[in-house]
Amino acid sequence: MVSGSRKRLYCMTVLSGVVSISSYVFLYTHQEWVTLNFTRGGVYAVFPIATAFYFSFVHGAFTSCLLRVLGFREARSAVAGNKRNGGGSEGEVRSCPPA
Amino acid sequence: MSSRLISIASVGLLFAFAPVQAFAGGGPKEMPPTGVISAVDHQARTIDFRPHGADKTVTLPLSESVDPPGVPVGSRVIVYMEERDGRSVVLDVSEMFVTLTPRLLIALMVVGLVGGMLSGFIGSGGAFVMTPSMMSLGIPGVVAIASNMCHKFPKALVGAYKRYRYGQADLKLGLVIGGSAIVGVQIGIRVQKAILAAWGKAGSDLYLSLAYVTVLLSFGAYVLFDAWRLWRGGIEVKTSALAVAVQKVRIPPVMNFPVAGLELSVWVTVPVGLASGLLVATIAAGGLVGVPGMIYGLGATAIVATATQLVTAFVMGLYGAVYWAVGGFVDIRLTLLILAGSLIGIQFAAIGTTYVRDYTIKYTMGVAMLIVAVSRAAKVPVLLADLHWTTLSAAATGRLESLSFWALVGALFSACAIVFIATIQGMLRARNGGEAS
Repeated sequence: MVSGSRKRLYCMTVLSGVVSISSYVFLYTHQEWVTLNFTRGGVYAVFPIATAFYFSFVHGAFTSCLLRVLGFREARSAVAGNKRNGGGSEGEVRSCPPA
Repeated sequence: MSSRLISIASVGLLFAFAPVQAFAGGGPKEMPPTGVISAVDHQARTIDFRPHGADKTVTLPLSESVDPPGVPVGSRVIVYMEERDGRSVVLDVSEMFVTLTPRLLIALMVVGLVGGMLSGFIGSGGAFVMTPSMMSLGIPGVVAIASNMCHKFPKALVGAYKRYRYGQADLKLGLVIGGSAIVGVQIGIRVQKAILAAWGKAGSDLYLSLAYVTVLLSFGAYVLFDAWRLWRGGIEVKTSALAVAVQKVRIPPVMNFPVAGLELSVWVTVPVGLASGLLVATIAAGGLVGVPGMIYGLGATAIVATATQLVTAFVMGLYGAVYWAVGGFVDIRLTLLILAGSLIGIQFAAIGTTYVRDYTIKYTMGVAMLIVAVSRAAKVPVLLADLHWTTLSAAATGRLESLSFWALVGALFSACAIVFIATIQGMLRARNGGEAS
């Protein structure tokens, strides 16, 4: 029996995985256009910088969920420390963080 | 209120010090021109070169080191030039964009994975190994540096966020140190330029190698000794005498760093940032000084120091990435392949830090520092020979160069093996109801 939070984790992993892989596929199937326009320099610098930010969120969310699904989770003491510092609860899986 | 203003001001330094040079692969790097070669004259040994963004084509002479039939025509190239007798001569031409083969694809992801693991655990991502590794895969040096730098800030962002969630990263401390680190980068570049002008490339490399062997050996040995003492005696982590003295300094502005549990004068954080920046400007491994600086100089724990260093790395990484992207050298395909691996590595290692004790992090860091010191030490005889201060056979030079490179690779993989084993052991122990390793 899969709990609700577990099911949500699986859904988030699949969803973020699809978005991440699609983004990678889109980029590499358009690599000629990408390399041409992303290396123009000057104000075009915004392209590689924004893309790196985008992938850090999308792919970061996917890898975070994937590691949880594989059983790699932070120690409970870290969760306690997090609560002391005003962070969110780790015990329940609301959604995967951006990273 | 003043604390917030100082945090904002430290980030503002990113813009105050407009990018003049970059700092991902050691030493000051000039940006070579890129463009397209339309024709090669084999007889006259010249090329017709149209620089990127320019309308006119210029004819450039080739040096004796360039083979005319091997010059790529029609594709985007990087042209390395040198002034000889008042005119520019082409020293080398390399294609800007490599073809992505399955081998290259996997290799870049593995490089990223390993670098990410190291970065997530000890706060230093191993750019000093990653850039040479990318170059050995056939990527032009300047593109390898730029693409590697552009992956650094998103990786550091993810790692810092993850470790902030665990209550380990002090954002304020990371930003303040990041501000002074950028100043350190600028100072480092200027120092190197002065040495380069005085003693040439070999002299500059010798200075760097000696400086790093000294710094890494002394810091590395102390960090390792400290880790051994903690492991053997099981004693509590104590604040060093230096940090205790530093914490008594009350020159305004004094800031409270809640996650690190410190209240410090901003001025005492400056040497840590400057030293970190100086190291980034030369071997792209600011964390190897920044982290021990925070532990023994300011009194942070190893876990907080390595997490906070990721915030500093984000600041410096973003600064460097903007610089290289404005120059048009970032090959985003390579950046994202490294990132694909490094985001897994950094999050795995961040999880690992919640299972280990301070001494495991110190031990990992000490091992990495000492092996990197061996790598730099192996270069010293080669550089002395370059300066004609000693003689060295070609075979011996090759062996030492090889030792230097493989020691770096060894540093990276040894540190990763420690991270992986410590994390798995810690998780198994926690599952069985034990304590952190």
